[in-house]
Amino acid sequence: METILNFAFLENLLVSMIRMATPLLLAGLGELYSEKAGMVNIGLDGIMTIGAGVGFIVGYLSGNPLLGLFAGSLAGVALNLIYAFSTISLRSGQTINGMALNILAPALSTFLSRTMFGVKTTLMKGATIGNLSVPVLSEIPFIGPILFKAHPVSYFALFLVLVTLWFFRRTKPGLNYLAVGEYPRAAESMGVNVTKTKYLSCIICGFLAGMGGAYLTTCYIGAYAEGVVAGRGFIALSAVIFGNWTGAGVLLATLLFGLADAVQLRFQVLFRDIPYQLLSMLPYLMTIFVLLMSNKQSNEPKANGQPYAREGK
Amino acid sequence: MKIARTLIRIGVSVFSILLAMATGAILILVIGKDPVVAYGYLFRGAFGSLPSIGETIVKVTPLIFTGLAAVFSYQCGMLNLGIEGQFIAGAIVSNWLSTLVIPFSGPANTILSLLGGMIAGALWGAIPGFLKAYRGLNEMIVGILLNYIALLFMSYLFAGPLMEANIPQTAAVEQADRLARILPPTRVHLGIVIALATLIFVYYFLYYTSGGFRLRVVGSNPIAARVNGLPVKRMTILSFLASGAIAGLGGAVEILGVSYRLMGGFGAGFGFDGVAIALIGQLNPIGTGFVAYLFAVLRVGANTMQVGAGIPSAIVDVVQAIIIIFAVAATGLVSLPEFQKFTARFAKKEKGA
Amino acid sequence: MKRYMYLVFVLLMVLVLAAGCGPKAEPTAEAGAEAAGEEAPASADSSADTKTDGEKVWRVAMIANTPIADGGWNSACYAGMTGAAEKYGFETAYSENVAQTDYVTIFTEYANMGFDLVFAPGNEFTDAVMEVAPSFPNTNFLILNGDAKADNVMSVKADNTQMGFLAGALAGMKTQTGKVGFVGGMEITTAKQAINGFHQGVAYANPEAEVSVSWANSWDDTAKGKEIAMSMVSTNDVDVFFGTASAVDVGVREGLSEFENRWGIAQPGESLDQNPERILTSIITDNVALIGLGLEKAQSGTFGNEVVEAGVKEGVLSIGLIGESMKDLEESFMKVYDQLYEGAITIDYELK
Repeated sequence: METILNFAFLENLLVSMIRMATPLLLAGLGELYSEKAGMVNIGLDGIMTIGAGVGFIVGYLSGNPLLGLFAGSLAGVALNLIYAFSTISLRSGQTINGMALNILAPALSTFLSRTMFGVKTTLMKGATIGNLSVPVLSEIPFIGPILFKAHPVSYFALFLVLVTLWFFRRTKPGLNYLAVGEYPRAAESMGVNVTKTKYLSCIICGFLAGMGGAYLTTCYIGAYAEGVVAGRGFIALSAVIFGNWTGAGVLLATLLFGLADAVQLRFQVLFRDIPYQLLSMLPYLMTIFVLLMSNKQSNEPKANGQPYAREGK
Repeated sequence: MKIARTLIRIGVSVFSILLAMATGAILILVIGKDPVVAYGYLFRGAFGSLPSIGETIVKVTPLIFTGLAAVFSYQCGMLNLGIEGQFIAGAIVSNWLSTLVIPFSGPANTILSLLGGMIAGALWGAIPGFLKAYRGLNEMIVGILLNYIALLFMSYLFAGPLMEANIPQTAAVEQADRLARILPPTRVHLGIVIALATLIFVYYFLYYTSGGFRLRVVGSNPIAARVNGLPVKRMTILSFLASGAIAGLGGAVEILGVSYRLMGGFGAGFGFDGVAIALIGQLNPIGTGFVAYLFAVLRVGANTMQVGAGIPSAIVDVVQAIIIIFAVAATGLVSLPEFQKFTARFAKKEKGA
Repeated sequence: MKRYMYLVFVLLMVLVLAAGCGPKAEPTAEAGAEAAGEEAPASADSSADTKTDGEKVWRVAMIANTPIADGGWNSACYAGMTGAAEKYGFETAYSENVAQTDYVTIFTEYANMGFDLVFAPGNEFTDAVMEVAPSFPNTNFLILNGDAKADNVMSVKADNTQMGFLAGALAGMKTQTGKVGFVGGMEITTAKQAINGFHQGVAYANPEAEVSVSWANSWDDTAKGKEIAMSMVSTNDVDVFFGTASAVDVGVREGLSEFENRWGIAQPGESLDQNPERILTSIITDNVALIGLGLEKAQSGTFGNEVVEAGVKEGVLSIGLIGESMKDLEESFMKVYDQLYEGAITIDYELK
């Protein structure tokens, strides 16, 4: 047990937590922007998958993982516009359109990567974007490696959390944005363009979730395996609800999930007699448990998931 | 005018399907294959012969169950995304009962195992229902999380306590305890009869009983339901229990009818397929049955297409997703007021001419 | 509900009509291999010339329950099949992502299309093979890592326990911290055999060394692989890794690169060029030879009723290119290999 109590172990655990939470946080924030405008997008996993696939392909072919990350984000936007058009302009069901993305995206990215690379015996390896050490600060023991030696994308995601908090609390456009998800009719009568806001929300969601996927293949590991997203989109979707529709909540939820997964992996090494399948349940059980403990008012946008038709149409 | 509108709707539907297939054809051309040959295999695979029709029926059986499970909860306004977990729970318990617990074999074993699976599914489904009703937890997220837990628990069981002969899989259900095959030489088994009976039962319950009516009221207008004194909490749990029971029965039927044992990959995808099927079927049990059949046709056809013409399964998935998108978008389109106005004008012109 | 119903009815009608007037199913010689792109063997295109001179066209098909391009097990089996097919003049096809309930269907379809050999790369296909095989005496079924046999069924096994032993012995020799790690994908038979061998190999070379085992619960979550490697390093100071988790292994090795003095042992194909500084060597399973055995027997009409086990002795297991970081151990490691070859080391095959 003395391993658990040493600082190196703890430091490593927290570093691992941040690394694992990053893709979840990006996708979760994307979904947050989507749901704040009333758009429940269950196709998050699909958007991440297309981001992972296109991100890797572009990063590999150009030799520039940063370009890959950007391309993956744009691919996410492109895919999510299908959802946006069908649900916003044609007012069809959000759940079913999201599911269609989850079927479409893995198939498309498999198709793309097969046409590019064929069936190889080993995975293609591309370059990755490395971590960023903040000079001086990263030398601080314990805190340095955790907070100041992280990945640039992790910083970006954390920065986005702050932006999100500021945007929804302190700005006029942010309040208008919220109104679209809460009382779309009232928002419209106040002169907010509901349709445009909803489209914007889908573009943000596609971009961030695509980036979350591309992070996996251009930053985490420089390789694309079919199925690399491994259900992270659904976890990110849960994180939004778990985080009670706030930026800080999503951050906490994804960190908690990352922590539980990091702990689980370490327990596999430490407690050899416990079957790994039971330990792997830990992140899911912990989420349910924490949900049970937190008994608070739901912050869900009132018109979440509902189609919007303008008055008199 | 009504006929004109109907014609337009049919036209839009045909167009959307043809468009989806055309997209698939382009992808097939990209990889250097002949789309006509490929689609030929798709159709023959699903309808070409008795065995292929049989395969479609085998494939549709679990989809009907998971589709109905989704219908039942969605009609009560509950988004049950935990159907896969409930399906797996049913499969686990029925396999366990049939192979290890029940000391005798024969039809009694089969029936008890089916019941056991149904109860297991109901109990697993009751968890999100209970947490929703009494703790206000979002049923979607609890359902998703419970899917992962059920899946991991299943792999724990077949690699641990229920493992047979050191190979990570459970024992197979014995010949005498399996659901009888009813259409030899195909693999069609009694499960399809159970599925259709369940379908009729769900239809009857939802539309011809007061319980079903109340369930739908809770689903369509929970506030009105509460004002009118309907026990919303109880209905919530009830809908989850029933939805889980249907999913669990589906899992049991799949084990006793075709899979016989649990191993890696069992049950994957049935849950989300069921939800998609129910939504395309507009939450109507009969519509759900048809859509489930359509899904089965595409899946079986896809297998044949892959075997016969070497078309990667990814292409069929793309076509399937595009059909869903176009179908949903097209129905959205035709019910837009703008579109209806347009067709009304069109119909008027026809009359005037 | 009525709205969607139009659509479904129409679609079903279109499908049925198309089925009626669609082309009759001539088993085309075209094969899935072609669709796979550049890696496809030339044999897949040879249908036209072989058919015209009236010679028999031999055909083999592979089934996979996950993607064929998984960068691990399936990829290696597929490469083995196409390699063997080239050698013996077979055409190839494959079906991937096949669901458990569809195994029987896919086998039946290939048999119906007159394939000479169906290759099932794993024990999990045994039930389905045994169900289909009796109805199709003219099609042979080859199971990799199975135990089943019948008139038209035979199993070939790569000696996974030996493979694990070799990796374990090397890990035991190399480790400086006295801690070595095994990363599994999911708990399937081959993984269990490899772990069993790994434990024995480590104990043989370095009885003091400690073995950690972790599971990714996935074959393709590369990111998880990286986390596993890093967590094994930080919790237990593991310095030599071996794994059988397909794409996850790639992630494991990427995780190693973040530390000094950590190494990986690769399998089942030559992988040194993936990460020459961190990979010690690859334990290579010669799938071409192993699967080729089935193709050869099918052609010569001696197929069936046999379970063939092949390891070091039969030339199926070999050692790949030696990395810089194990040059000093090469001699002593090859000694273990030779002893295994001569049968001087006995391995306990029983799984616990």
